[in-house]
Amino acid sequence: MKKNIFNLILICIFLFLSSSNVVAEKLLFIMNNSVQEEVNKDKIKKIYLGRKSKWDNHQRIIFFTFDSSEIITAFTRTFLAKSKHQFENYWKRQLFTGKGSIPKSIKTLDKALEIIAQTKGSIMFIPSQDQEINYNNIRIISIE
Amino acid sequence: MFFKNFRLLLGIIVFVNFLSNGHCENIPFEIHGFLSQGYLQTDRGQYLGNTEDGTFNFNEIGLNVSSSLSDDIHLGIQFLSRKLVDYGNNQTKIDWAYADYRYHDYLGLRFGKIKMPFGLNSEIRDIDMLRTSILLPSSIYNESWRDTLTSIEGIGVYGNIYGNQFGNINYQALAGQLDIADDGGVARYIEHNGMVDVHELESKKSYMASILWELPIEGISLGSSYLSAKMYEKSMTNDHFLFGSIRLGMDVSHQLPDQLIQVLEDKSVDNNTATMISQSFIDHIVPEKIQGLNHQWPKEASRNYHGLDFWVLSFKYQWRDLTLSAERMDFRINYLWTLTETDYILSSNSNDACWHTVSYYLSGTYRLLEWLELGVYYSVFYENDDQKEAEFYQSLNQLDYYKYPVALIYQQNAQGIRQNFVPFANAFLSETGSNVTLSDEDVKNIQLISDYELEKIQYHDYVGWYKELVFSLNMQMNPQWNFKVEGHFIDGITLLDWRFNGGDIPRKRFLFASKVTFSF
Repeated sequence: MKKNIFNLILICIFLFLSSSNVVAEKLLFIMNNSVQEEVNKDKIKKIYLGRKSKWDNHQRIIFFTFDSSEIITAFTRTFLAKSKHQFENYWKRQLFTGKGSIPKSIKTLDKALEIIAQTKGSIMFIPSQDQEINYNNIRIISIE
Repeated sequence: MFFKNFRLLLGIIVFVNFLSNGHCENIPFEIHGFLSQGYLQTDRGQYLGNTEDGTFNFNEIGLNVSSSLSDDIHLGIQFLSRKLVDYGNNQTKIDWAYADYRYHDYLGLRFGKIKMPFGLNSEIRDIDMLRTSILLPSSIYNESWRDTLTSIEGIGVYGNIYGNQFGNINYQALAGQLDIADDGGVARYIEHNGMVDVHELESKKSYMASILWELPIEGISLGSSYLSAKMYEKSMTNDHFLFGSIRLGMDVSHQLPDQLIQVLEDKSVDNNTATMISQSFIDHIVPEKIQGLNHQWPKEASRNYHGLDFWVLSFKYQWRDLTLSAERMDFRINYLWTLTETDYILSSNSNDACWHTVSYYLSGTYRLLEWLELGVYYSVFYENDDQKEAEFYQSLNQLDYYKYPVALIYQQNAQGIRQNFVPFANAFLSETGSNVTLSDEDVKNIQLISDYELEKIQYHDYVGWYKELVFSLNMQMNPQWNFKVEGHFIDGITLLDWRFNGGDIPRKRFLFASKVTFSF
């Protein structure tokens, strides 16, 4: 009996450690060229938790997420100090209490570039790219 | 069920039609919803209804439509239908519906039916997939009060204030009226605690403020919420809890002082039997108004709750997939109760009463796997902070008390009967021309004896608390589907509906709950 409990504890510790690994995915942020202000980690957190709704020039902030479990996990852990599920539940909470809408998710990089280029005040995170991105009307930054 | 939810669908269709026609055709709107079905079973005793044989009377259906009219103005409405064994009954209600004007991130204005940020979880108690457990800790999130403490009809201001040095502060202040239905959970709660039949509950102005401070230390949040409410209750009762004094008072005729009996015997046209003496007393001493009362049941009582003050302190810590939280609530009830038909005989039938409930819980959740979350909480509720010791209930049992909490009222009213008896009797004696007068000394031995058989109950200390240890498993098959199971080890009964538990209420029970939820 004691041995079983010990084994169970070991399994729990293993699962705990394995599930706690942060995905070391590098991220970039792409923004519509209408956004010219400085963006740092604090600002990203405020934007993605809905606490900053307008840029300094009073333009509405429209933010998107990248539709990949690994990328979202890397983003939420690095910038929001939340897990992916905590982030998703945070926005579901806003939705079902009438305080906000779940940010839209974009599936591919091409689509992301297209939408950000067309949408004023928009911003989103994408996985870092080996090749340089050249796209009209888009600004790309890396935030450490 | 079908017809009740038909109204829900109809309401949504009308609303969506409104948005998608005419002037609203260019306004984007979103529709979301959730549907859950649960199962409850207790091993012995009941839980908010008949659960001993297992029940599927446990569901929630919600649909919301929201739209942004501009960058700053948002509108939304959510319909909700729910059933929790004997509560909710799948009546479709507006869960929230409001217009929101966000002037700036630090200041916004809402009006309509607004969700109340009462504690950490009140806003999401209808939304099962947002938490690990199926049932929230009852100590703070009492199911009986659920339909009242989740939203307020009125106006509110809100905002976020952020600073690198002090972190983020989220605040809300609301003013309005609570949704207190005559047949809702609050009425049930009063009924099963006060042994009355609530006929009318009127909500008065209420105020609420809440603050959630996310400290600069990553993951730690502190919160506080305060709600001040008022309401008026009118009830009918057959129970001697409130009216025992009258029924008891009638039988003091069997204990009339000798001097008075003598006078009555002298004046009596009958054979001076004890029965006739008693009848004479009732006919002549007890006022007609009061005589009638003995046959007019049920009787009316009212309570003016001039202070219902809830104060919740909250703590939350999030580290990766681990969330720890704790909350404590102090709930003070101040009310003036009045027995509307009895003010002639008893001077003390309007009483100020004060009640202080203390409750808290500790909770931990951890997402072990991508699809699996574990949760545990321990929750404690004391009905009255001044009466939570076992000695209090033991002392009740030593006295000749019958039904909770009638003892004090018996004592007060026995004194009242005696005090009022002397002037009544002397007035009668004077009218008869007798020289006899009674003093307080002559009536000091009059005891209150019931004119019907009282059921003496044995007091258990566990009527004063409700403690539960709960283990939960939340399996998230995908973002839309959740399946949960949990076990509640319950000790105490004060938050349970006594009507469903009969006379012999077991102290401990195990509640099994499971629930599947779909959201979109």
